[in-house]
Amino acid sequence: MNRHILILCAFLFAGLSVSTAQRANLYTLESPYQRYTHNLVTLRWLGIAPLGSITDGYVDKPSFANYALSVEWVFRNMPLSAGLEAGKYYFEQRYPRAIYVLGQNEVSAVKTSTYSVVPLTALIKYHFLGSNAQFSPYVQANIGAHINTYTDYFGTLADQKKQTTLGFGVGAGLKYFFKKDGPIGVDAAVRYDQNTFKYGYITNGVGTVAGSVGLFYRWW
Amino acid sequence: MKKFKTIMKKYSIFIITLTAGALLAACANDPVSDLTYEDTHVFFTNHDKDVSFKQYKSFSIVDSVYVVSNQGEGTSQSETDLTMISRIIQNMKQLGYEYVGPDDTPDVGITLQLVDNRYLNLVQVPMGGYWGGYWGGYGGWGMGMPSYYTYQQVQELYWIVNMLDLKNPDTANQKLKVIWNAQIRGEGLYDAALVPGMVDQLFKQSSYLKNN
Repeated sequence: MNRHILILCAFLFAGLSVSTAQRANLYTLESPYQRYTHNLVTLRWLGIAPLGSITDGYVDKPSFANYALSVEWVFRNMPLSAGLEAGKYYFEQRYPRAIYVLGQNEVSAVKTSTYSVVPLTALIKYHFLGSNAQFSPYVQANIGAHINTYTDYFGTLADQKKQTTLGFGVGAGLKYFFKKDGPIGVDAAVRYDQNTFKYGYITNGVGTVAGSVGLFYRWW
Repeated sequence: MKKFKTIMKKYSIFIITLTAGALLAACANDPVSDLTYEDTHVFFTNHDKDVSFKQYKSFSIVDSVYVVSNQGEGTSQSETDLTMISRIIQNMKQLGYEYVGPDDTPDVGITLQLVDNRYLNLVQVPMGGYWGGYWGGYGGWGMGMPSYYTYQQVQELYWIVNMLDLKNPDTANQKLKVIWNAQIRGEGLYDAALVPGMVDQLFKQSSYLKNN
C-alpha cells in the first residue's frame, strides 16, 4: 500500500516538474525589449535641496516645483542605457526687510532670491539586474550644460546673471514595471548634481541633492 | 536622403526632448508680483565717510520738491510733497538738529527731488510671431501682430534726498559738498499715506546722522 502511494507521489512530482519545465520553455521566447534596442521616456518630478554657498544667505529651503524629462536608448544584450535629459529646477526665498551693503550704499529692501537651472545633459545608466527586470535597480551619471538664471530682487529691482556652465551628476534609482515585460512603470531615484556657476552669493557652484519619482514608457 | 529621413525619425524624440527643455527654460514666473507697495520700496543711503555729523547744529530744507522729468522740470508743492518735507523736518529735529530758515545760516541744507520719467516702450510679446500651426494650409506663415498690441507705458519714479554742507563751502570751486544722499525706489512712491514710513526708514538706516 505504502509503496503504491510512493509511486503515485513520484509520478505526480515528475508530472509537476515537467509541466513547470514546459512553461519555462514556452517562455524562453525573449520579450522584444530584450531582443531589440528600444526607447524609454521618463517624466519625473523632483524635490530638491540646495547645497553649498547658495545656502549662505541666498536660498536654503528645498524646492518642490521641479521637473525633468529624459529619453534613453536601452541597449539590447547589455544592462546599459544612454540618452538625454532636460529639466527645470527652481528655487525661491523671500527675506523680510533688512539692510544690505551694495557698493558704498546701505540698501534697505525686502529681498526675494531666486535661482533656476535648466540642465541639458547626456546620461548613462547601468542596470544591476538587466534592463528588463520587473524591479530594476540602476545607477546613473549625467554630464552636460546647466543654463543658470540668478535673479536677486531687492523690492522689484533685480540683480540678474544668466550663464551656461558645465553641470554633472550621479544618481541611483529603482524602476518598477507595472507588468512583467510591460511598457509602463514608475521610477524612484535619488541624485546629486553640481555645476560651476558663480555669481553674487554663489561663490562655489551650485550643488543639489534630489529625490524624484517618475513615470516611464518604453517602445521599440 | 532616405537614410537622412530614417535618422531624423530615429532622433526625433531626442529633438523633441531638447525642444521641451528649451520651452521649460523659457517659462519664467514673476516671483515679486505678490509684494505690497511698502515691500517694493528700496531705500538707498550713502554718506561722506570723512564727515562727522556731530559738527552740524542746524538745518534748513527746501520748501518744494524739484521734479526732474523727461517732460520738463519744475517745482511742486502737492500734499505728498509737503508731507515728505514735514516728515524730514520731524526726523531731523528728533536727531537733535535745529530747524532754521534759509536765511538763518543753517549748517546743512536738504534738497528734495522727484525723478519722474515716462516712456512708451515698444515691447515684444513673448512667443510673438508663433501661432501654433493649428490651422492646416498655412504652413510657414507668420503671425501679423499689429503694433497697437505691443505698446506699454513704463514709468520710472523715484525720490532723491541730498544733504549739503553749508558750514564748509568749497569757496574756491564754488561747490557745496553732498554729505548724505538717499534714494527711494519702488511702487506707490507718490502715495501720501506711505510717505511718513518711507522717510522714517531713510533716517532709521542712517545711524550716523546725529549731533550728540
